[in-house]
Amino acid sequence: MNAAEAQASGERENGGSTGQPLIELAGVARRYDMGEVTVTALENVDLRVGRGEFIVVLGPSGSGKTTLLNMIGALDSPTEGTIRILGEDITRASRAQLFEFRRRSVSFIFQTFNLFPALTALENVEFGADVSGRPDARELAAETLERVGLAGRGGHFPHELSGGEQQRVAIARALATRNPILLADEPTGELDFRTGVQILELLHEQTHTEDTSVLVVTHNREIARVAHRVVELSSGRIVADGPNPGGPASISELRW
Amino acid sequence: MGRRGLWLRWSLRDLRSRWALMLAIGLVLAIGTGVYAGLGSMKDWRIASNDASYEALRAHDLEISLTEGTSAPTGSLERLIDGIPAASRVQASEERLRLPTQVEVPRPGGESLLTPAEVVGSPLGPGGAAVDGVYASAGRALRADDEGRPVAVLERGFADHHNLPPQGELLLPGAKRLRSVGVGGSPEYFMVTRPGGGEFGGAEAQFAVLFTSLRTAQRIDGRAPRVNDAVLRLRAGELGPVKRQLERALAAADLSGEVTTLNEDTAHRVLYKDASGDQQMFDVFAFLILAGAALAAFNLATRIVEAQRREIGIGMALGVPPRQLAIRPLLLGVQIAVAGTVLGLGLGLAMGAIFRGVLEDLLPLPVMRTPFEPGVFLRAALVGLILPIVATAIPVWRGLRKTPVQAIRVGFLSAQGSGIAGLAKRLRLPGPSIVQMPMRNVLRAPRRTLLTVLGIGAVLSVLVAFMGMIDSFDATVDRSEAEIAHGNPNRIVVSLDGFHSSRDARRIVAGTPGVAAAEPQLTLPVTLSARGGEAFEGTVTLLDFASPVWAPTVTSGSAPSPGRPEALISEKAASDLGVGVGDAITIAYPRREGGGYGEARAQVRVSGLHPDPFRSFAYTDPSVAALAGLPGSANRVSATPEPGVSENRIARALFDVPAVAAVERATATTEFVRDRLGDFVGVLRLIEGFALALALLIAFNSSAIGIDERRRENGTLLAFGITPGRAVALAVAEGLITGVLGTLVGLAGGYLVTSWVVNQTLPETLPDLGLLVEIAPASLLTAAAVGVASVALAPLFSAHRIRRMDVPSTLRVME
Repeated sequence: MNAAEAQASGERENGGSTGQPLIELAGVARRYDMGEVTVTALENVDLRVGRGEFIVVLGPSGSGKTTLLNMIGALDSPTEGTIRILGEDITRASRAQLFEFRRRSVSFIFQTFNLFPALTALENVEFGADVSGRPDARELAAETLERVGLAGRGGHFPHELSGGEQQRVAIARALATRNPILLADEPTGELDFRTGVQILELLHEQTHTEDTSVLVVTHNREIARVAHRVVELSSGRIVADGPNPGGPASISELRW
Repeated sequence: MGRRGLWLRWSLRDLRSRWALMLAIGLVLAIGTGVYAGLGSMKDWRIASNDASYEALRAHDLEISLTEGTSAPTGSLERLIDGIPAASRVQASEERLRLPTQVEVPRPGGESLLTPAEVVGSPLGPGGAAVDGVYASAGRALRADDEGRPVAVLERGFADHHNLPPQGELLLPGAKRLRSVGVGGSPEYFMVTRPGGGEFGGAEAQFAVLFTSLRTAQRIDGRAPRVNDAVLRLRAGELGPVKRQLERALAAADLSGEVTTLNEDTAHRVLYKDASGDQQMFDVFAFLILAGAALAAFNLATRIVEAQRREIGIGMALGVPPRQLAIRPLLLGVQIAVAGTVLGLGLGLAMGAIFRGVLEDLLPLPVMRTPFEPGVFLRAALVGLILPIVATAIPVWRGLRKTPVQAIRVGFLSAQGSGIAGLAKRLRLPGPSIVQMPMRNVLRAPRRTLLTVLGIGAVLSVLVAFMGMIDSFDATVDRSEAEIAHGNPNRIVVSLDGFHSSRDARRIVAGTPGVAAAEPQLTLPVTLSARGGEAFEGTVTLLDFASPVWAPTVTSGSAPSPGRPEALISEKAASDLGVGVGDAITIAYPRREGGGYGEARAQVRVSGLHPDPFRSFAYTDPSVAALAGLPGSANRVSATPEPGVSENRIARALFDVPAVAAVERATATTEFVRDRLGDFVGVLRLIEGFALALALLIAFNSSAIGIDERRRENGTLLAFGITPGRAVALAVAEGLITGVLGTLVGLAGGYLVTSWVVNQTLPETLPDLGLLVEIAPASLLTAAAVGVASVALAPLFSAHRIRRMDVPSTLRVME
């Protein structure tokens, strides 16, 4: 490893980005008009995320974590501010461009998995690869399923899998897209501790092996310990944003 | 009250949020119950209209008809009636003169009509005829001071078919003229039947009936005042004894004829029999439409309540008693039931008006009665009331059987089974995984798919059966037409006013300019019967089987041999009589005896069969005419026009020839069947329209609920960058599969219904016609297109809900 690589590795480990940020939010706000009342979900949010970062977005219920994720994933648009992903300002993008962006740039992992019940595990993963235009979708799906430890379960429908297996299929579906950004909304919320740890390991691994930037939204502070960086939200504002003091913990140390 | 009030308020909010969908399901039920009520009432409406019309016109109880070609001096039949022992039972009687003739009706701006006709002359009292009155639907009726004047009322069916005004000129042979003062009818002509056409009514288009005074008819006749018919109304009591007394009186007066009751009148018989016979067919259509609506409503209501599964589970977790948990979904079922019943009531009431218009076209009677039939409606409404409640009760019962946590969970523990999608796992369609989704979605909810498919299939069966009936009629009539026209498509038939020598008959027609060849025939009304089979009326035509003009086709056996008592009968007649080639049948026929006719019977061998589906047409060799006392006689001439000469031109040339009663195309028989069918199609088109509306509603509702149920899946698709258009395309593909399955069920069901109607029901109403079961490829394609397109395209109407989806809200964990 040379110095540049060491610096890049160190920056990654310490939550810093290398080069141009992958994700850049500037002055982002999201307000909802509810008749007489205006609800502010996000206010004046500035955020930069580099390649290969593992970021945990922490905050209590109603703090704006999911709204932030939806903004980055182009599922929602800000009331104010700009969002640049891979250098492109998505706040100015057309509807068609946003669909294209979601196919090529971001992938989602949901708390309730949201697998397609009519497709087998392998086909769910293959869907992810298809959507992002991979010509070798079937082979890639099989390989990705193997990576998440479900090589023998590809022919099963979601209802025939356990919760942890379903979430792994969901992760595999997101990984099969080979998109540079992975957005996970409470990925361990429905799972027991042991399974949750396995999921975190899979997610964390992506930052090393694929240089994928992973943003995990959670209210579980224990999970935040394994992050390169923790962004804390409260009432729609970022109240803290920085690396874990003492560096990210090992996943094996986690307890909840 | 507080708790009850809570449930009611909650239920009202459910209604507010889903009112369009519940109204749509209610409409599905309403169409089913309303159409059932309408179709189910047809028989009662027709019978009530028949009864009221016959009563309004003082229809006869008995009729004396002298044998064709015979008559009696005016007054002789009245004296005969007055002379019977039961004369005091006669409330009113009238002598009449019925004259077969031709009529030319000038039409402004068009060629005049030349058509066979009958002049019916009755004495006119202050209110017109005392028995078998003549009504006017346009213009005016006949009055007492019209007696002897050259005025007439033209039969309504004929006038309507040819768009004739109530007032106009009517030209008769021998330069005689009548002026029509109105358009209307009389009980015997509520349905006009053709001689030899059996009980197939609807000959109004080709046969004009002119109602006039007795003296006017006698002046047209041009002979000494005579009558050949009398009609009587009796006071209450048995008809039989009076009928027998009249028959004896006729015989004693050396008059040849018959005495018939109103029930024996062909039109009367057909009107009432048709009402019952058609009702069987209408009942099948009504049942199918109601069944389709019921299946669909059941399916849709069940799915709406299944969406409340989670809330039921939350209620269970909070300790709410199951009985109370059931209130809200059951209230939903009640709301759908009420909507369906109220809308159905409205539609049921409207059915009277809707079907009345169709019935008036089908059967123009002077009095139409289409009252709301509560009994029929209640039967259907009961289904509409009970079904949604049952449909909502079942998922509630299923939901209450789960543990609360099973019901509440969203996510992996809430996942349903894969139905039979597992069977399709190995059947992978070419293309990416997203292409597998429509088929798998259909298979993983087999019960739901089955209900939708059956609902669509039941309704589509109605469409297929309707088209199948029309196709079957068309095929049958085509077959008859092919037989009648074979070898000589322009052939015409000249009917004479009585029996003439064959030589004279040939001379009359062959000598007419424009006629290339002429062949005399003798046609007699007969009754055919055989041991073990039913007897029926028909005609036997004695003709030359080697004639170059026309001869029937022999499909099996051979033509009758000269000098032998043999006959060529139709395949249908052979089947109904239970005979084959070589077997014996009995033919009852008129035989000339002195100045009149008696009835004779003969055992005849079936020499062969012909393919004309009308069973009433039989043929034999002219050599057996002597059996009828009519050797060398003819009353019809079959003729070939010269090239380029129309039937009208020959009719015009023969118009003033006294011996000629009518000139028409040989295919006139089939033409009137097609006309009759055209009237009937009006009713079927109405049913078809409702069936189509129902199919579209079912498809739309099913698709709308489906998009609701799949909102998470659709949200996930959009989150992964699948465009709304592509997501809608998946729904369309799923609809296409369901549509194809529903169409297959509909095609099969429709074929079965068509076969049943054609083979079981119609033979009772149309016994004389040997119907073929046929559904044309074009009809199958049309039904398939409707079935597939309606279900496949239904998702497009809900596409906006995918396009406008708020993805984050849809995918949120908490609802």
